[in-house]
Amino acid sequence: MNWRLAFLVAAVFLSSNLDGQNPLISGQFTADPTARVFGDKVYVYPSHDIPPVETLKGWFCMADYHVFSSSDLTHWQDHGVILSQEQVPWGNHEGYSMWAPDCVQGSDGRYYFYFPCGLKPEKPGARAGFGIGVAIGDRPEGPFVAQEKNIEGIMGIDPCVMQTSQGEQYIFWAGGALRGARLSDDGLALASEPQVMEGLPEGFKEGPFAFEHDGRYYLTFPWVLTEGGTETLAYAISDQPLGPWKFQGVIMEESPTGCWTNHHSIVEYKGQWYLFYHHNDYSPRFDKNRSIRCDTLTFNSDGTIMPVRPTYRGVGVTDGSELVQIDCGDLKGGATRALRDTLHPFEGWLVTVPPSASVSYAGVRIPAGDYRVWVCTAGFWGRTQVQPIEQTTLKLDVLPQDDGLHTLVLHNQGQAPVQVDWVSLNARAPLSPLTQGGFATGRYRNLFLEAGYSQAQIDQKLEEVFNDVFFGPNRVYFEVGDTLGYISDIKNHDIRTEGMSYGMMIAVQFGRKDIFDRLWRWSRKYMQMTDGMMPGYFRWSCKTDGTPNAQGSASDGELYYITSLLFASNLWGNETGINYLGEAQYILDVIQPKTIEVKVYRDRQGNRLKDPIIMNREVSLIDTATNLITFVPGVPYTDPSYHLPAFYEVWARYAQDGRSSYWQECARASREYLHRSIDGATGLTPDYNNYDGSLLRNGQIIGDAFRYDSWRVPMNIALDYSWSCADRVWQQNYGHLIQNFLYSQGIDTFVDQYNIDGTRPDQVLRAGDYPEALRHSIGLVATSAAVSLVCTHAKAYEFVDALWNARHEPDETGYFDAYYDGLLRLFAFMHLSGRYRVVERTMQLSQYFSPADAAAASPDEQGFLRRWKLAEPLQRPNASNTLFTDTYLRDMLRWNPEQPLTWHHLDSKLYNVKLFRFAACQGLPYYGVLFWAETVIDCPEEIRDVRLSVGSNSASRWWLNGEEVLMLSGDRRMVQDDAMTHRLTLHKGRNVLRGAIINGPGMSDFCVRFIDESGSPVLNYSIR
Amino acid sequence: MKKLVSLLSCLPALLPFVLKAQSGAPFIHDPSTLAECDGKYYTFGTGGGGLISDDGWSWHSGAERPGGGAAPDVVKIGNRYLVAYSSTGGGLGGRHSGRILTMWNRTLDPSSPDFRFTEPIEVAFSDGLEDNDAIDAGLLLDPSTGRLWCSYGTYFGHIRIVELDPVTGARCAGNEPKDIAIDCEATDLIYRDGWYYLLGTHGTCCDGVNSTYNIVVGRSRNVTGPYLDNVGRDMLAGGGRMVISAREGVTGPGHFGRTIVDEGVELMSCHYEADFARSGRSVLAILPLLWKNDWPVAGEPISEGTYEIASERRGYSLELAVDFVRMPVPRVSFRDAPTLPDSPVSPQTLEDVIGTWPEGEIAVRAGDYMFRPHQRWCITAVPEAGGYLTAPYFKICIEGTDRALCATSEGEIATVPHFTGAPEQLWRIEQLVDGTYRLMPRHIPGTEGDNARYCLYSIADSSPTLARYDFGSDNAKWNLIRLY
Repeated sequence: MNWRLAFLVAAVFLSSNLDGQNPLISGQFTADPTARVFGDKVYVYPSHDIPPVETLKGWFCMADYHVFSSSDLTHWQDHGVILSQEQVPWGNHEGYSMWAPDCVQGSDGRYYFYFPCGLKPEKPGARAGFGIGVAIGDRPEGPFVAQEKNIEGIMGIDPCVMQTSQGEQYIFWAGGALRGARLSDDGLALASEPQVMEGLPEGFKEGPFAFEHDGRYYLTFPWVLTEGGTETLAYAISDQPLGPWKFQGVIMEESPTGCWTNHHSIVEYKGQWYLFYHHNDYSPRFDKNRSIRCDTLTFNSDGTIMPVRPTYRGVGVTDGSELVQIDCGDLKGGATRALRDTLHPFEGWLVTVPPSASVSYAGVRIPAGDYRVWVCTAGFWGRTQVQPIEQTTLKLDVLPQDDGLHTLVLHNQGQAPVQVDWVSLNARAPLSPLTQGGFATGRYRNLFLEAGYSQAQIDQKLEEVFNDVFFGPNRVYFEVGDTLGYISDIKNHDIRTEGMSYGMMIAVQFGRKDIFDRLWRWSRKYMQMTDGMMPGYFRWSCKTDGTPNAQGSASDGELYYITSLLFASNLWGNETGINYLGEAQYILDVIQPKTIEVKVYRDRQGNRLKDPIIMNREVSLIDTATNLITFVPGVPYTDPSYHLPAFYEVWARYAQDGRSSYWQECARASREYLHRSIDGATGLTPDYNNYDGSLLRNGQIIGDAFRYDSWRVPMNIALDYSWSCADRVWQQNYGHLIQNFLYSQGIDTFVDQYNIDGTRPDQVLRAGDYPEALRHSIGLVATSAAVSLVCTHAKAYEFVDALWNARHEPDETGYFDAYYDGLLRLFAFMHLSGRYRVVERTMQLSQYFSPADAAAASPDEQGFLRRWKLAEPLQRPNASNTLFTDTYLRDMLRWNPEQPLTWHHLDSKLYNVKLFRFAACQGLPYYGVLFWAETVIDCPEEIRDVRLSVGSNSASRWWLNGEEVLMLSGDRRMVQDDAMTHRLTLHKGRNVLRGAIINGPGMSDFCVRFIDESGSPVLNYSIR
Repeated sequence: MKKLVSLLSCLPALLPFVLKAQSGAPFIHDPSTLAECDGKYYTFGTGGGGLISDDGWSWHSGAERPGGGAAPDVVKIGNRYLVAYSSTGGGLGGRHSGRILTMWNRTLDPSSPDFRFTEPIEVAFSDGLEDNDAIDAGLLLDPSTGRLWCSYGTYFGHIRIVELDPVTGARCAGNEPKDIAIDCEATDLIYRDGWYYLLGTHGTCCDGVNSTYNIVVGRSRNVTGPYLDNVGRDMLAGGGRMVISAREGVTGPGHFGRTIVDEGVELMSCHYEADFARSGRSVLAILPLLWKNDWPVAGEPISEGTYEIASERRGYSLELAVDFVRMPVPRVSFRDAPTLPDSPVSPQTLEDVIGTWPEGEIAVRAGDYMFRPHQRWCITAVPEAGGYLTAPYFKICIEGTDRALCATSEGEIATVPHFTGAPEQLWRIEQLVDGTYRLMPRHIPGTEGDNARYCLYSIADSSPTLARYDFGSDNAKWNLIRLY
């Protein structure tokens, strides 16, 4: 089986739902929804549109089915693939013809999934007609197993099964006309001859949906009313299950989005009738990629159906404290709705509200207690901004409805149109995950601050948590001598690459070079292998005296070592004793695939061999077939908590190892793998799994369940989101899923080990020497709080609060894990305070300047003066360079010997003196500043008739020996020989040249030289 | 009084017709090089979206370019369009970690069923720290080699160039960015006659009417530079020769794009930061592009007024084929001793001669220019007739009259006594790269549709006709000499 296909089948798709708005499902296309109530939930069985494969260019293309369920019509869960085309014995495995299905519960309690599919063709590539088959499952969400044969006697599509109150069942389908027949009690065969439904109007019809209501039978169907038109939804009524029918009229008019098809179902749930249908909202240009919707449906007292108007608002109650997607409201007074990004339609809509226009959104539950109104608006650059509504020109009316819910009406009282994404009613700022990562923006959320904690509190807490790990009485960091240090897993009495490399990551994040270097030196001295089969890799465990406990590596150690070394290189450069970049590059080289000889001491049955066998084995940190990190190099499976796609992006960016596109590919593969590795109902991951996401099922205690290793997954996904934001929609849904699961277990009581379906495991894994127990471990409290960075639901704050308030101390049984719990707690605090970041490369002053020495300097070959005394900049805020008028310069650029200035005597490595870098590399302000520059020109003899030539960014003013000689006013760029003085004389001996350079938003620099009468540079002097 | 009337009849209508920038709603910043798709013109701007025009003169919003970000460019390669744009971390004044992305589309028409952009791919990147900000892409499909190049960068450090694969739109494997200029923005690369030109925008943008944006150029024999200006100064040292700066009523030209209409007929597109006639909004402008000593220079849009139309062939002036009416002014010899102080001689007026002209159609010829009424042509825009790439159609009438120059069904030119708006009386006037003009009737009676081939042509020194445009011949070229 090809990998890609296998992944597609196995992947758990997390579709976003926009909280009850239409379309119901985002992130994938859905069509032809059949909604059924099983138990207390609504299940929707749609077909699954995908962009057409080449052979179906421009046509419908569907390879499998998903099912979605909800108990409130607001939140929908995707149960993943329930049946795909290659699982249909009688069907065309490459037909992509898995069209509109239905599902009913049989009298045996099992679930019967009816679906059309292209018949297996006579010859490969040929097309045959459609049959309708049955697949049976034990649960509404499957899995479903298809029958060997399709139902005899049916050629057609769009099956619908009606179960009557009389206990009979009938099947309807479309095939030339709408047809129907009695269905056998076992649901697998026809029990009567098919017959064409009589009494229906002329015109194209398909997609029958029949149901019983109030003692009569309703046949509803898509119907093309007008030649060349699109499908309406129409209906007819009969006293008999198979007609003849009496036509009644249209339920829904033609699609306002121009979608040619419509296909539907009608269901009663909790006393209200609903119409499920579809339009092509997320694919406005290609109406074969559709999206399902739902609106309420009402019967008149005579049993006729009131027309249904499609809305974006849809059904279900929206929690006002979450993000209310008001762009799905009713538009009034010229408000318009448009896709935020036509290339990525699942990003949803923005509504543009012109002055005096409004948008209203009904069915909102208002939070109890006080709240503020927050609004998310989008600016010109597409950057969104969340702020209290008072800070905008918008106003929100909250109008009570009869049913206790409220309608929100958003007005624009300003003069300019405003683009709005959502509103939220919340005492705290609504949780609004960023839409771009730290790589792009350098911005990181301080979620503690957003949650209402003060910066002083946060700083104090962070320091406490840091101290707990490194310096407190229960610390896990120990210094050895003057240069070494280690982090110990106290409860397991060892030192692990995990803890060591975590410690280095924390150290570099806190700028603690001392800690970083000690940990690295210890790692390099005792853990990094210098010989043997895998030199350069790290022994994953050592005793505290450095004695190895193991000869092999655990891949996450290398992952963190490389990343933290690259960060150290970025932060501290590579000339302070440790060549961090070189060390990282060395590891990156050694982890590449290579073949090693291994000695095998036991046979497959585990019997010890007399003589060991030498075997060749390929090892690499990253599995070569899948580009996924190994659990241990050479082992054919992985660990979901080792997947930090953003780390690979750090490598791609900073490692300079020539593999950047490969690392990008690894990041992509890792994200795809994570989709396959989580349980779609709980968000839980196993500790280990196969590359295709399936469980190892090897009977070992560590492996298939969610235990210690997997705690890290939520935090890792938060990190990937916060740094890269490359998998926004899925990761947000992941965050909601796992927090919802843990919340359902009690936010203060959830335990630390589960099977991934959320059940309690039969066996409990011990932590160190402590007794077996399920605990509410602070490590998981920490990581489940960290994932709040991706969440929009209000309970994310509760997880944040829970971490904030959790005490890291021995529990009532005396259990205490300073190491794993302690490190995860610190990481989570770093994440939630915005202190866990991509450590970017910093420019070093030495790249642009070197200190001036005592020896005199000369102008360069082109005559440019490169030796200058540069004063640290003075702040002169100016938004634009056009403000530097002559008058401004005369007023503001005046030499004042009393002005205290901090000078640096430097030689510029470039002909142009980069003032911007001079300031930025020293952490000084560089925009809106004034620089003073001075140099001393020593002439062996008088030099007459020279001109001072200057280019500066931006305006500047120049004095020679105290006399003003040149002013470059206005909006200047550094242009060589932009302006020159009149003829000057350089005196014999010392001449002082002084300049003042001012900038607004630009990258300030200047270049200065002397030019003689012939236009040549003057070189015969020295500079001090 | 009659003289006054005749003067007024030549002056533009009550509101003077301003031809500084494009018509309609051409509001855009950083317009991409104009692209033609299925008979319509497209340009994309900063922030997403873009403009569409049916005729090249009147523009409106409606083009679609997803991805947001800054300053896109577009080039047609084969039957596909490659769009490059940049996504930025923070926008202007923000961070400088930029990415140049490219994506393909088979059409630029958002209403086409084929309209679908491919997933964008990154072709260049800046880490936010280095002396470069990877935004403002400019694309060049080198006609001499078929290779595809992309320049990018802003005032934050250097302008760089990378090579892309014209098949995939991805960066060529192993290609490393090279610095080619400093302190510009919104660059574009063009190729002409063995020279590569780097056009960069200097100055300050986004400051409304005070924006000092201007476009400068350097050139190189190699696409990767060095790009030197006209005094030999490298653009890496800030060099650049002015192509266009602010003009009366418009400030801040930026984001150059070149369009070749025909041999010798070239255009440049840009935006003006502020159009004084339109609240100081940023607008699209399309201007003639001239070449002087192998340097590009922006031409002027045609302004309404009275002109002598002189042939490049001989220098004879286009005139009505009517009697030369001698002026009854006695000759005064330079040897005659003045008896009185000199007094001015009044020029011949329309009313002096119009009575001698026939009523109906009058033929046209070329002759010695004597600034006589039958040689004075009033050129006036006819915006209601639409336009072509750059400008609206014009009517060309004898000053003070409604007598209009037109094409005839014999493929000749003549004048009709009254301008009726008929397409053969409408003229497409384009400045050529050498500064001369070609004049084409919109329509030639007896032919199909709009004319894009035949122009006013000196078949002999004195004999204008319509003939195929040929940039290699002075017969096809005319000088428009503004009288007032």
